[in-house]
Amino acid sequence: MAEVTLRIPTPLQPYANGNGELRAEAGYVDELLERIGAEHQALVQRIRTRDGQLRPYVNVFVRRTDIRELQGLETELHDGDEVIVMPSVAGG
Amino acid sequence: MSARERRLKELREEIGEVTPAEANELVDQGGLLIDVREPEEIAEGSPTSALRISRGWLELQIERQVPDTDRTLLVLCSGGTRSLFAADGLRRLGYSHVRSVSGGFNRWKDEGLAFEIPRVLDADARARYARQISLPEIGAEGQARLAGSRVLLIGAGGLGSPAAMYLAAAGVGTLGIVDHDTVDRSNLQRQILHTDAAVGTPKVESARHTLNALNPGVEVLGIEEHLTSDNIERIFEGYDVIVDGSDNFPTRYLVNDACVRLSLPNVHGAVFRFDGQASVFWPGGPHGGPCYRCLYPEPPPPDQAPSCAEAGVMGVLPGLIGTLQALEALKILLDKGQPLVGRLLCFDGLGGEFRELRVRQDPACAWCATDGDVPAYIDYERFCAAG
Ligand SMILES: [Zn+2]
Repeated sequence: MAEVTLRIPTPLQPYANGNGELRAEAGYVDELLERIGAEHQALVQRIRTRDGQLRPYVNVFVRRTDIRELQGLETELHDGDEVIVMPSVAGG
Repeated sequence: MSARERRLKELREEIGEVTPAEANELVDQGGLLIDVREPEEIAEGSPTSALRISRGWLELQIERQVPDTDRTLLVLCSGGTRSLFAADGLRRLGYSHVRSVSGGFNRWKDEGLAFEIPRVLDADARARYARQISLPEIGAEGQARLAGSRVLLIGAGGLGSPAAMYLAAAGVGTLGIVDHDTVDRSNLQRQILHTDAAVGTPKVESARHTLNALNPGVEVLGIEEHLTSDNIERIFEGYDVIVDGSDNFPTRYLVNDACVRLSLPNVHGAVFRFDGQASVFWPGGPHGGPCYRCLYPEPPPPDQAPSCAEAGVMGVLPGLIGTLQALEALKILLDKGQPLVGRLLCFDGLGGEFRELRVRQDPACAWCATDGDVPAYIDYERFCAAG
């Protein structure tokens, strides 16, 4: 288990009770989403589909790297890691 | 014999002269031709291969341009007199192989050797861009390059406004602006191209007015159209860089797909509330890297996109991101520095933090990475995205 911070940018904050970051203990990204989802179901639904796939318009970065380049949702987390959710935004 | 004539005679003997044809041959063997005439003279033509440094700047600039003091330098003026004095100055700086071209550019032209009419800066431009020309990364040559450049801005809104202002101020010769909207009072909090007096007028008109007031030397082309799969390639034709400041997903994906097809750099910026991001998508460029679809393969469906009620943006945010886009566009045009290729620069305005996220080309991206046919353009359904 690692203590990590999930950073939530403003478009998704309404689904996290307005929080910009949430802390949790988890060994892997999917576990982190599972734990966060227990309390913030709507947030996690915006990140992955019901069958557990990442949505094509949301990316998750661990240690500044897209988890698709790592082990996807099975990417291992270390103490102090910052997990950043980055949905596509179109505002201009 | 006057003092001047006596000195010239000495210099001819000490330095040595070559004919234009001989100079041309020495250039082929690794020599460097230096045209030391004034900008007004060079505007009428200068040997194609020449380095151009006017006599008054020669000693100050030569070391940076030609660090090798053993290189053969062939100095040229209009008739072969000033070049003798200039060659003497170079010799005194330590350049050991210096020759003066007898008869100068007049004879060079008469002998039918290659010359060109270089893009040069007039007096207004030299004054206007003085602080930029003095940067070694830009110089008069880079400034002339900007004058010959064409940038297309998608949108004259929150991002397009500051981007266009700085690109016009920097001297990009042609700015195309695609926008079919009219100015609304609610735009003015962030869209600094437009003024209160322009409310109700087409944004492209308002933009042209503001940009030409700032810099009359810039040609501003307004394109008052909705970008679609039918018109996008026609509209993009002839531009060097695309700056995406659009406010909706369908346009962003069209812009990406056209940039990939045409190998154009797509300078990306997007904002939402207090957040912003910028990157350069240019898989066909010298740095490789991802396209927008490598990062986000598809736009969100309407029910997953931020709703209209949530739309809102702190006006300064697009100001920050749009100016970053202008900087990236200028770097690409000048071929200087490291563009934001493969990096998504994210700004958290409330936290006051920049974060750089690594993004790479998706090896399975059908648009930019695979060998098969590039998919056809897609006109996604337009819905209210947060703008
Ligand atoms: Zn791609």
